[in-house]
Amino acid sequence: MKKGSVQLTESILVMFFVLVIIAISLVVFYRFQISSLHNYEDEYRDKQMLSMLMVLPNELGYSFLGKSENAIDTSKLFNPNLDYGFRTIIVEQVYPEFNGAVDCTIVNYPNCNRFVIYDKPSVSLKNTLVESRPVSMYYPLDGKFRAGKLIIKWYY
Amino acid sequence: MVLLRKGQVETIGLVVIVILLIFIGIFALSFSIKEKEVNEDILTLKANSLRSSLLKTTICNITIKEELGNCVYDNPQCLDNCGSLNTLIGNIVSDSLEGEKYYFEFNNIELGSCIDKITSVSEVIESEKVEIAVCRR
Repeated sequence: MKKGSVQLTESILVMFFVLVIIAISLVVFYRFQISSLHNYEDEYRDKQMLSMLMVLPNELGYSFLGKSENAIDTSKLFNPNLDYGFRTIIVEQVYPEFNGAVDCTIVNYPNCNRFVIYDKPSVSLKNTLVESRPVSMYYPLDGKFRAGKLIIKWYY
Repeated sequence: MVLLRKGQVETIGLVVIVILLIFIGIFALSFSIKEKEVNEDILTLKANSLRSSLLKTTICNITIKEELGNCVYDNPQCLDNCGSLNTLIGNIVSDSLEGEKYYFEFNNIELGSCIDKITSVSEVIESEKVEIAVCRR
């Protein structure tokens, strides 16, 4: 091969490697951008979930003489008129224990242990974020507090 | 000034390219294997609400808080003995959480264990502090 042709081949090879490096950098940069977007989305969803877990027990809360008792009033859990989009909200009794889950209705209340207070699942949304927090459940009929948990299922 | 030969210049170029590729690889790897952090705000909320709901829970006609106070003087009013109260508290706490580990301490009762924990706001019963924590891991 002539010197000129060797140099040309060398230049082509150098250009090729430079292009490969640029391509790899672009892919890495794209993945980084996508990853930060997903992180931001997750963070936002977590914050909204936290906000719901904090606020919801107050909306359904039991208060005595205007003072909040930090408990959910179970008599307010039938048709509470909520609109939270594609979510399911459940208040489940933990103590005293029950054999299996018995959904609460006006008829069997208070001999039940699960209040499905909002249920709007989505067929198209495949992912579900589930989070819960312990709550105190107040039963006005006997004036007792039972231990429970508030479960939120978020479809996205 | 020392003049480099053509071969040496090309070797330096090759080394620079390899170093660049290694940096890009490390950068990409650090993002692909990044662990998701534990949401501390939710754990704090869980720890505080767990303390509140546990102590408020009614057993017989008194609350767990009152029965814990009775157990300071080894005089339980609702349960047969204070050991049963410990078991009951352990069951309520573990059922209230979604598999997270916990730590409970009151007087000489200690339930669960944590390496790293988020503790709720403390509450005092009969001069003894109740500590309830949810484990980070």
